[in-house]
Amino acid sequence: MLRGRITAEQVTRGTLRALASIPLAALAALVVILLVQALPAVRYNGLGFFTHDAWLPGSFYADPVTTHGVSHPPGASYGALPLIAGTLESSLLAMVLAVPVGIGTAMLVVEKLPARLSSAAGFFLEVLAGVPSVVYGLWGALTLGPWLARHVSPVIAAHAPDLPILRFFRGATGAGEGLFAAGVVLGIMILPIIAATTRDLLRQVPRQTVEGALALGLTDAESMRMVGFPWVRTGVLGAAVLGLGRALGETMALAMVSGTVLGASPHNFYDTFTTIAATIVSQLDSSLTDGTGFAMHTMAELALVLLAITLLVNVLARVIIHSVSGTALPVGRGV
Amino acid sequence: MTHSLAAARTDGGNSRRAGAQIPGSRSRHPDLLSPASTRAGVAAAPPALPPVLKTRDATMGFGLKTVLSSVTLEFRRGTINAIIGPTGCGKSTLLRAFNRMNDRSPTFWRRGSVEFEGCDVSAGTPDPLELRRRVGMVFQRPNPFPMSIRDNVVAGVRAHRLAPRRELAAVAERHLRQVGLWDAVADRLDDSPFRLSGGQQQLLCLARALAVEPDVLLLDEPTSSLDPATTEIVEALLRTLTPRLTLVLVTHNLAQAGRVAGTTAFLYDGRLVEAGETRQILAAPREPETVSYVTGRIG
Ligand SMILES: Nc1ncnc2c1ncn2[C@@H]1O[C@H](COP(=O)(O)OP(=O)(O)OP(=O)(O)O)[C@@H](O)[C@H]1O
Ligand SMILES: [Mg+2]
Repeated sequence: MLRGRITAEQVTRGTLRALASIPLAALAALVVILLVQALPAVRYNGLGFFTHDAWLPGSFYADPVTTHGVSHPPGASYGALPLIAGTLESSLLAMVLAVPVGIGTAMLVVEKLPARLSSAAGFFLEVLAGVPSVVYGLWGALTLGPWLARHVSPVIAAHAPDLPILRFFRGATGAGEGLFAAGVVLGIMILPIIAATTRDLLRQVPRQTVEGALALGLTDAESMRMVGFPWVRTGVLGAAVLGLGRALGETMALAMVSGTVLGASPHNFYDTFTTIAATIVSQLDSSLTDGTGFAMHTMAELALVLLAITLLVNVLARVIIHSVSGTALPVGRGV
Repeated sequence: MTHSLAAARTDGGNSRRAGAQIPGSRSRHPDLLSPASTRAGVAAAPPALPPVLKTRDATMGFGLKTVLSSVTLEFRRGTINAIIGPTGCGKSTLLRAFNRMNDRSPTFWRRGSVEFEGCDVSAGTPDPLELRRRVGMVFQRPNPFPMSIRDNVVAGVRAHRLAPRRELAAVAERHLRQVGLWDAVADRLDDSPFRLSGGQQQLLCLARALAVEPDVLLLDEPTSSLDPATTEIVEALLRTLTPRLTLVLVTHNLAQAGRVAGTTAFLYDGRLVEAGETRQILAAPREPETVSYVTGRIG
């Protein structure tokens, strides 16, 4: 009997251990496969992959040539700089829009709305979070983009001063597909993630702490800002990183709203551009027609870069969270 | 405030009648704590100051539940007053009526009056924020804010703009000294308050409440989570706050009421059973419920 029970427990433990290692194994397999697939592209493209703009698949119908032992169509030359820049710029814009609005929404929902409205607002946040990205993309391309181009972009462009960085906001405002529209669509997509997480965190702020602030004669808003928010700061940072991860990897909506211009960085805030993820999805078909397989190797290299950026963001977030929680305060269990 | 002690003094007969209306209550009449305490008050402080806090026929509750029935009570300036009674009898609710903390609960309702310096607290003068500045509160469990120790002390000062920025450090020091915490925290003012001991945290909360220069301090079982030594420190501190401040102290600890409070009010099941000089309430209570409570038979 005893033996039977021990084996049963061992089996259970072994199974759990195996299950627990699945994510790790999956990540490892992913990285290995990507590395193997990307290796020829890494060797041929070299460091220039990160420094130049060109996106020339070469001539698929001519005889392949071999450089550094890598077979590729003649004239192939790939530079990912515009894609990397586009990915980071659109995500940055999304964050700039979504973080403050998301936090504000969460505060409003928790502090100002009566219980019934608050749960209704929560429901809408969840619905918003669940809308497929292709729907956002379509809406962005057909409605929001053109609307921004007609009513918002010209105003910003006209008022932006002719100064070093701000010059980026001047110039031709386009028809609606481009960096600005993409950033706004991305921002709307990650807003529910940030708002819902922040709301849940704010609800965990100890009642007695908030009461302490109110009993001191602070307004609801002051108590939220001075007492509630610091309590959840690290958790909110985690939510923001979650949103950023989604923005960096977002594919479909960006493929539809970015204008998908290969081989050039956006000239200004409204210019068409593309991102790593959008490029992979839009170039997949044509890459498959490269008989040498080199275009596919480049796709794998792109995927590797995107993975690296995402991992880097997560590590960075952990470092920041760690340093924030080190300095002082009670740290929400958000992350 | 027009209620005078003269009225109170000549009211001996009325209080008996009032007692009949609310069985067991001697303080139904607005001007009376109890005849005993009124006389004591006259002896101690001849010029009759109007009460700082006062309730008259205050009945309140949440939703369908009535928590306090027809409580009439007053607290004189510069005194320490204890509120005692078994758990759930409405002590906290009464205390929180004075700074309108009950209003946060959507189902809260009240009849009768609850006054601060002669004006109903709900009348709007002073507005709720100013009311809460002037009628401060200290809670049962220390509730420091998630900010540095120094910022904790001046949080209210900042919000009410009571001192310019460059004086905040001095304000913080003054009040940390006042509560006897300065030496312990002087070299870690920028640290988190959550590494302080529970007692130190409670002293910090006291410093924070005192920093906004209130007139009244409401204390809801402020020492119930502290060890005896720290409790003693807090009690000693409370005594130093009068006569500048008026204190209302909810406590489960009768000995504590005896040590610090001049007057004591006994609440039982939402009624004010008896109020008067602490010595009398503890040593020679008049009402049977009070007798049972102070001898440890109820509560
Ligand atoms: N926000 C609220 N909503 C509904 N009922 C409440 C609320 N606050 C208090 N009560 C009820 O009012 C009654 C009195 O509560 P109160 O906190 O005033 O008692 P207390 O005398 O302070 O008790 P304790 O000694 O345990 O602190 C209790 O029955 C409690 O359930
Ligand atoms: Mg209580």
